[in-house]
Amino acid sequence: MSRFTFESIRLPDTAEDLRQDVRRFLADEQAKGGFVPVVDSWLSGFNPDFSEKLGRMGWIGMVWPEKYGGHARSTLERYVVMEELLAAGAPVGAHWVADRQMGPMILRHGTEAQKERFLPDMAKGVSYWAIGMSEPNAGSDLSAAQAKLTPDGAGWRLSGQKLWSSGAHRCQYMIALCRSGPAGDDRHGGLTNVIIDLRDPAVTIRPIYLISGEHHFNEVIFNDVYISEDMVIGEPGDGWHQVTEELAHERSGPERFLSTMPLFEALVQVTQHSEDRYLQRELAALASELAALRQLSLSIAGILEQGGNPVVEAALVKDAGTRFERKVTEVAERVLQLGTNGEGGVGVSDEIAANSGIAAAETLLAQAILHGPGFTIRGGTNEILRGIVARGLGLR
Amino acid sequence: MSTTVRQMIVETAHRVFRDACDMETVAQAAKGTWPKTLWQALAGNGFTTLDDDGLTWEDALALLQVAGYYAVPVPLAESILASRLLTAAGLSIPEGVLTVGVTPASKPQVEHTASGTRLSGRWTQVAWARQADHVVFLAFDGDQPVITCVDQSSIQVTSGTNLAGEPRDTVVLEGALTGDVGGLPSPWSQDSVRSFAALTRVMLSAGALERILDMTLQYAGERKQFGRPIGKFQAVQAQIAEMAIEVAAVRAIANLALAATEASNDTASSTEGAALGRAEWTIALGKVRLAQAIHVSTTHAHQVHGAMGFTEEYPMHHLTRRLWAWRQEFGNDTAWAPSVVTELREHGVWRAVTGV
Repeated sequence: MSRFTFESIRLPDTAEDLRQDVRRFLADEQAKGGFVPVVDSWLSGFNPDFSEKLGRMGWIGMVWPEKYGGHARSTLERYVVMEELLAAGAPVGAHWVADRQMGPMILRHGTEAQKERFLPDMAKGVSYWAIGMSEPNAGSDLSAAQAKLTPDGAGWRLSGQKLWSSGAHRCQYMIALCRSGPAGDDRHGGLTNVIIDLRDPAVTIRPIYLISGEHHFNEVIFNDVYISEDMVIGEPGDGWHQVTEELAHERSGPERFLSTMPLFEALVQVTQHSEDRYLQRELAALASELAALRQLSLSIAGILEQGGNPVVEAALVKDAGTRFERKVTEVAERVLQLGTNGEGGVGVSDEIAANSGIAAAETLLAQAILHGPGFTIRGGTNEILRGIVARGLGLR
Repeated sequence: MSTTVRQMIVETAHRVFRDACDMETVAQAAKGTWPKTLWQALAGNGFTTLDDDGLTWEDALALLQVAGYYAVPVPLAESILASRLLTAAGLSIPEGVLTVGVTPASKPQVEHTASGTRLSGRWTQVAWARQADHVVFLAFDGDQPVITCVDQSSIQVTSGTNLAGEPRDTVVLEGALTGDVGGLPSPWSQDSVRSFAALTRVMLSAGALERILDMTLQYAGERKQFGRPIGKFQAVQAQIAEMAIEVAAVRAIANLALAATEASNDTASSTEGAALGRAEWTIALGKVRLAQAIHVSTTHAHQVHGAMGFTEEYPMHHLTRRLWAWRQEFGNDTAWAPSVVTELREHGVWRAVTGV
């Protein structure tokens, strides 16, 4: 019957104890003004001080070996820390990509020298990394990457461009998927991942502003950048395998359904006394969906812990998770009335408008609406993800 | 208790149902034929009642997912629930076909008279009451919720059916003689019974959803239009992928409810109330999540099947109609929403969901 592997996971007591530690830490930080919860905090919450504090707590690079600055904790313990940070809307954007993707990629495929050089600073929360996958003519179709590596002595020369690189203007490094040879029949050959020092003068970073006016995205242009041999990850030509494996990490995490969690909490708070049955039905539907997504995402963490590569399961969770994030926004939008700043208005009952938290809820809603289009696109569009699920079902 | 034992039960159940509950059996049952052979096969395998040495309540719940997959046309869920209630109330389990009356209109009462204990009241949604040898009722002794079992000969049945054509009868008793009466064990309440009943629908539905996904996949691979199987069209693939997501989500919630139910049985009595509350909350979540899954899955399944899917001849309707009925039975999503929301309001969303 079961087509996908989603074993039930029960979190070990050590993970639940850790959860309480993280909650205490977050409550303290929030109380002393260390952060204000935001929607989509893993993208927009770029806060180097906060990242460094997490590094000191041992909550970055948690599963990496101690000799690289890691903490040799379990995947499930790491999972609990991730979900607590995200649920609280904590500003984790600075180190997120390094911890989630680039560190693990170096750990799996990098040289000993690369591990020793890069991982410890990542785990301290002082080294920030950007993703270099998309290009102008290669969105979710990574096999169309054109950024070109040309051999130059023992190293390479890189020319071309990456697009949508979140935070590249604030990061020290990028790992970019580049073309080092012909694609071959399956279109998956000739791709190589290289580490690029973004402070290299031959790299130009141009901002792309979001509809909210914020600057997260960038266009990164490589003007004949020299890539020394020791900055290549694994063997040249192995890039496709490396990124697809990496995407299971990128797609299955709790950030794919918790981006709008602070808004959901606020919505429940400001509607605390509403008797409206349909509102309650909407809130209950969101909670039931959240609980299901969390179980699915947890079981993927369990598969990763056992060394599996749950590509299809991750695609499935990301599709459903990001649609859930949008639904939270939609329900909040139907219930609240933006721009009234707590004054009430059409569609907001007096009892909701009178709630002291409504101004904060409206701020979170505004963030969620303006960030919404990104949820279902970043990390592979939902259409692509459904294609992966369909393949997993044997339809293609 | 043990996962391996449960896995074995589930595998055996698939074999038994495959042999004894094909679509022809289901179709005949829908026309009013009692599937005697099927019931005997289930009873013979010890599937119909809980047993100290055999089937546990949690095993039975896992078994119901298999029953749902085969659109079982007998009161299996009711028999299991009846036996759960009898055991908990300290009563013995009689032989034969069992069902439950746990949806009482007003507050049915037991009366202790010189000639024995008598029961009066009205219960709706009593599955296969017309066919049962015994009906286990939820009633009240004063204000105390109690369980009691009544023989077929003492009940009057008014036939009714649900959307799927399954018997859902109304039973009216006026001073009917009943056997022993047992109180619900602490900390169970009338609401707990309603939760357990709802949980059977979550489990059955989880199985039925899997089946319609399987049928839809198979059909999409065989049915050709415009020169190729319709499953090769991206739009169709997207619909089926969405169904698969819904099925996975329901299975996840069903497993969560199962684990919480198990924990509520394992926990020492001091914290039993909290564990039971957690179990009931996850069941409410399950009933709510199910509503969306059924909406999406049955819509897409019928869309992919085209007109064929909603003919009587094509057997998928036995599953889709049951899903539409089970979604409503023992409370739909609107009915269960307040139970979910109370917890969210009290503890915050994230603490409620994580349970700590």
